[in-house]
Amino acid sequence: MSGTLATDGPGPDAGSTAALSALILEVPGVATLYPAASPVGQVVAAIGSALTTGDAEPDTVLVSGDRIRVRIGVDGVEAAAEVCRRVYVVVRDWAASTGRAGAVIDVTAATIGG
Amino acid sequence: MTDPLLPPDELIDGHTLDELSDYLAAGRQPADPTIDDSPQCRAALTALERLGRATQDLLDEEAAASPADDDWVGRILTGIRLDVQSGRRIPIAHPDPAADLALTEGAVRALVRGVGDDIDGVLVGRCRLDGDVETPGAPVAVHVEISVRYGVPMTETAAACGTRSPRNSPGTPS
Repeated sequence: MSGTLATDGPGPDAGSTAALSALILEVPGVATLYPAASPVGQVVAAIGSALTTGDAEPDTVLVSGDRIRVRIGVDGVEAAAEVCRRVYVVVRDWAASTGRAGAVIDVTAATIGG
Repeated sequence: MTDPLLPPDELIDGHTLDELSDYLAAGRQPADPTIDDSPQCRAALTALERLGRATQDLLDEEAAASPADDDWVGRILTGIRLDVQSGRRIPIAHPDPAADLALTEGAVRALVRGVGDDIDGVLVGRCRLDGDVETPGAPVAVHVEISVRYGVPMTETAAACGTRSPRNSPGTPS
């Protein structure tokens, strides 16, 4: 699972947002990334992506206006809250480096272990 | 056994338990991203795997030579279906107001279920978080309904479930 989704505003270049996904997956305690968009958003993005690039991979990081949304699965070894805080730091730094300082960063742990 | 906080929907992120069970039986092949990319479906698959192991253990034991009670299995399956729903967002404290961090209620229920199921002779039927989990510091009661294998001391086992709560597990939300 990889890739990102920009729904509005000046969309980040694919490389940078793909790099964000990779950075998140390197955070200790992160087991996986889940698509952050709503199911409807995923369908819309997948159709759009398939039409433009032929790639219908599900998107994992949602960048929408001044909000960045990440949904993760944590490995169940490290405290889930601490893992979310680490991911937040990674996303915050990425946001600052791409001109999005101050964006609200939503990190949700959707699964723990398993 | 209806939980007012959970939707009555029979589906788990668009899939029935039967579909998920079939997917598991097929070794998760061919890969279905609508299942693999869904935290709810993955939690349900994990719980179904544990249920499968537990029922197999029962069948392997002479004391339970007859097939597992259909009603009992049905109650466990209902519990899995309800527990894996995302539910409410449980906020994680952070000093930066731009940080909106949370766990899903479903993730916590699945964690509690996993901890209970890992205790020998225990299978969790339902897990419920009662209280305002969306308000940091608000009192929350964790209700866990368990089945205990025949022959296993019930009182001690129930007590073990309490002390082996996620508070004492590595994945503890904190």
